[in-house]
Amino acid sequence: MKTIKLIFSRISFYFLSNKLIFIMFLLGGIVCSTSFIYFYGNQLSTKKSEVSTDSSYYTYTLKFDEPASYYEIKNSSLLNSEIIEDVMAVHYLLLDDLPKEFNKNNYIDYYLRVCTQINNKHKLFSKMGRSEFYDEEIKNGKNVIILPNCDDIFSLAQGDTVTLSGREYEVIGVNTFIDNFYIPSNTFDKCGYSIDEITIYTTERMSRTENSQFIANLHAEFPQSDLIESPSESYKAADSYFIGDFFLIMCEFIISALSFMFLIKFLIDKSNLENIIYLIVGATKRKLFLILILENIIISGIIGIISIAIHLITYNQFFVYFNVYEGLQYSIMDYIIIFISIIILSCITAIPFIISCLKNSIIINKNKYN
Amino acid sequence: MKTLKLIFEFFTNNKITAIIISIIYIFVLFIANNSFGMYRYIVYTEDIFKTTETTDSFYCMPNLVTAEMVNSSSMDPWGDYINNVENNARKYKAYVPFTKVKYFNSDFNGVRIKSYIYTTDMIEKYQFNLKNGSWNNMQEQSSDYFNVIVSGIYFDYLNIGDIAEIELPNYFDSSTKKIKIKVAGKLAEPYTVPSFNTSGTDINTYDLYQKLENGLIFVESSRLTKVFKSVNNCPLTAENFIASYKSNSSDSERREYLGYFTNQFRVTHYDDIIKNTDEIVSLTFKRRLPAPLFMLSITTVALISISILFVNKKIREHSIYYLCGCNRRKSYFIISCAIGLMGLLGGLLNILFIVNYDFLTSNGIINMSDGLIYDGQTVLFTLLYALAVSAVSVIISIMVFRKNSPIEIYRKYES
Repeated sequence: MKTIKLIFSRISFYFLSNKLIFIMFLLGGIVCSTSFIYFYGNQLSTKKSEVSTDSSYYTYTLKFDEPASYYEIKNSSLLNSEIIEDVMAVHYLLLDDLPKEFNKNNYIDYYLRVCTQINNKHKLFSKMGRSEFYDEEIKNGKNVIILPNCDDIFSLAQGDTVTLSGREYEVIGVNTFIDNFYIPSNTFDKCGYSIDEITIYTTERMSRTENSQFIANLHAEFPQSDLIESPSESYKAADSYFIGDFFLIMCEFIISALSFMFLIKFLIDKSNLENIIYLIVGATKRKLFLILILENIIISGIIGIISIAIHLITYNQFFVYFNVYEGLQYSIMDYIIIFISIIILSCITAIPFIISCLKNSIIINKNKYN
Repeated sequence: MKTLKLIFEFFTNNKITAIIISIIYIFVLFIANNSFGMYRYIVYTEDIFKTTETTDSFYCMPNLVTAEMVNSSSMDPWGDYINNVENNARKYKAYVPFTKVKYFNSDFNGVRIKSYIYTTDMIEKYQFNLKNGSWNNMQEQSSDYFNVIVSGIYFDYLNIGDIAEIELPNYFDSSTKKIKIKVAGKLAEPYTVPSFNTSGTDINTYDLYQKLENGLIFVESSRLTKVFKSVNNCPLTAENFIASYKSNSSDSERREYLGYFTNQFRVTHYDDIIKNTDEIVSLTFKRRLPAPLFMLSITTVALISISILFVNKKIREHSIYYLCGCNRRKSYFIISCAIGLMGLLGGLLNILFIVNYDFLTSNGIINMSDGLIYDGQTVLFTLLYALAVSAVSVIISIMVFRKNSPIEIYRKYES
């Protein structure tokens, strides 16, 4: 308690000995800390992953050990829930299934696939012509096809006919995938293609917990399958960048705070005579070091609280406009991490300055003041 | 000399602080200029697109290589293909000539340069800004040389009216043919010209243009074609182009005309290009600008704080100078110069970099980005920022200095 009292009296001495320098130090610390809060939200991959709209956060791919039937997938209660936008059923093609225009030497069995979008909702990108089927084509199970964007299609044009797995199809366009033929869902069903793989597109991204729950549900619904793609990979990738990203923003904070530490050193130097008296009356250098570090912790704590308060109060009016991703929110845990980081980083930055203040022996310092 | 010494004396015992703050300041200003430059370039390309095209325009991208094209013996298969498409398009009532781009490579003083060939209509449409010279000079006819617009630092030593030579390679052997060019004008920064060399699903205006760092612009002419033929060379046509509807065409004519393109090309309409560009502009604004702005604000506060700190540290010395006969105005001058030097040094170094940026990129010393504007506005921003920060630092420092009289300061320190 005595030490705490002493520290506060020293801080008030700093303030009174040079108000402007002390205020500039606080101001500098607040600017650095507010920037740190901004960078924490906008540079950390883990934070970005919470609001990223990347398609990988909406996509799950299951590969079946034993091919499933179209009926099985179409009538799955899980795949008919509201959160599912579309399901792409995939059948792996053998070389013998390929159209004659395709040079079989360029491919192997199961490389090219025939796919269908069961709900016809997920948008495909077009390389040429159409990339979606009309309702009438789906309803009537018409033999129309969207070709993959591979080298062999240069001899084909819209309106041409190709033979896939022994059936003739009219070419209506080319999609941007290099290995996927697309046909309407009813045509896929009529052809009796078995399903080797499904890709599930969700309407909205799930949180980490919801994602884990959904994966568990998928496993329960299709126990004979392997999950080969899910948002978990993206979450894992974001987590793996955490240390690197955090190190980078720590460096940014230390470099920014460095300039302001010269101000606190100036103030500590001003109270050097007092420090010498402490040492003469029995305080150890370690104790003095501790006092100076505690001072720094308290000042940076105050700065951290002010900065977080500024960020919280002005977030919707100011900071939200600078966010790289929309919808970025800071949780209480984020603010706690930020607060602790600010204190630790301030101490790391201040240590060389504190050591330089304490480097002389008591006698040298005493003589200097005499 | 004595004053100069005193100015530098200001930094004694503060060297490390001054060096650290100066390095941070230079670096932050550099990052800020770079980010603003990139942002401004995208906005600039959008402005060009808006002023040159109308809502009737659409960008066509023939992404599929057809069998005829693969088997073609032509040196410019895309050119032949697009000409064929245009000839067939003429029968539609909504047809207006396509805006397409031709280019070729040649050597100038042993360095490979890219040249574009535009039609007179295109030059009129785009109204490229010139630093020197005039587009009217291009109309002059001569059998000895071709009038060209030069672009980039390689051609800086040439004056308007100067004649130089470029070498055109022969496609069939290693020989070259020298062509005389006469400088009709110099393209103004940022040397942006239409290139139409990008295709994709999200076309924006940034993709349609290119910085012609070192190159030439020719006007299409039959004499130029003859020269190319004489060396078995041929300018290449960019595979993408801009088409548009005739302004007074009806909706059905437009639909029919558009159908002709959508059957064989990926088409992106004017509104979609603008929409995509606006998204990119907004994304660039959010991704590139906040970090430099935060860093600039930290640096500004840091520079002001350090200046106040320096004055506080030197205040006693200056009170002694005063007591020894140096007047207050002289002290103000020394403090202002020293603090101003710290603030202006970073600004001046950045300005030096901006001014020499073209030279550095042309010589391959640095290559930061293809889309970056460093111009008078960047210099002005840097200068104004440096001046403002220096002025604020100096003013606050002087205010701190004059708060107490020299004798009061001396007494305070002596007690």
